[in-house]
Amino acid sequence: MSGRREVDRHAAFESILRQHEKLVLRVAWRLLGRWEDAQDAAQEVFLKLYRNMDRIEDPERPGAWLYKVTLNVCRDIGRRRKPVEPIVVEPASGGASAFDGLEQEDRLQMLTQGLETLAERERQALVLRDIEGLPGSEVAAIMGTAEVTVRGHIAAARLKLKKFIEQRERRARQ
Amino acid sequence: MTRCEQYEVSVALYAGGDLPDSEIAALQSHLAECPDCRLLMDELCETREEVASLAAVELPFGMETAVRSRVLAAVAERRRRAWRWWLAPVAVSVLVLAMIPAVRFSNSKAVPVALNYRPATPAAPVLAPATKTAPLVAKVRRERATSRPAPERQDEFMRIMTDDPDIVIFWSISDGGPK
Repeated sequence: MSGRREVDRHAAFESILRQHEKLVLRVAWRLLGRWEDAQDAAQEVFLKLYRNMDRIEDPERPGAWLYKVTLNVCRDIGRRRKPVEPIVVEPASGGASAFDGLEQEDRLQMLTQGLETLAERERQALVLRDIEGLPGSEVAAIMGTAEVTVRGHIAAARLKLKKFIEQRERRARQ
Repeated sequence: MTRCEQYEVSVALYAGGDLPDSEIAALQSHLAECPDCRLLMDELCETREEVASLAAVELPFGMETAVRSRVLAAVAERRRRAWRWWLAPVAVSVLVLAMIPAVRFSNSKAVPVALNYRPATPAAPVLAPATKTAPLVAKVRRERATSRPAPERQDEFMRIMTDDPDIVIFWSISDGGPK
């Protein structure tokens, strides 16, 4: 590889790093629930990007590639660490909003814990669709699965998360 | 509280705009007559809004800079290693080329290695047995042996080893100059 080409390649990499570091960190944090894990994940994602710069189909728009690799890296990190115990979902009840009276930090913590209780694929689908706001077809492409399967994950995740929040609310009231 | 469980998934998708168009009309007509599913719909919309609000969460101060520094440091180290691998053979070649004139024009103390080298003079003159030769004849033979002109000197070569065991450079260092 010529020196000039290597310099261009490095400049392109640094540009992508600066443009997308927040995105990768945010997604990694939502998937892993801890900033320190998100940092490790982001570092690994960008080192993979550096190694694979020549193989990315569309280097001008590496977003889809970064999402896909972030999901894979977070999955591996999540499997290496201690698993979170699943919650016992009780029948849902109506009433006041679970978020009423909660400070923003408490709400954030509740949502983060709720995300951790979801199955891996459900969490991935929910993060990409409801937080990142990607269309279902793009989520399906990133996750490497059919759109109908993604819809199933998204529906299950929304229902589980709602029940988790209701359960937390009941505990808080007792 | 009872639920229309068969509609739960549809309601969950509808709350986020993910229900296929072909199923929307049927769900809307069910929602119009089912207060439980309308309540579920409202709750799911609220939960979804809360989840979506995570998009606005700011990164802890300095985190992206820390990650960028770690990544760039790791990349720089990787590039340094790559350059070392690339430069090593070049450096060896330059070193070898730089050594050649020095070897050629200096009185090197390196031991020359001759190809098909034969000593210019025998280590000891081979003389006929003295027992059967008269002393005068033996003396003349000795003088002839020592005054005999040396045979033409063989080319001598300096052997220069490289990192590659298959590549050895032989440099002629005989008095007559490079051949």
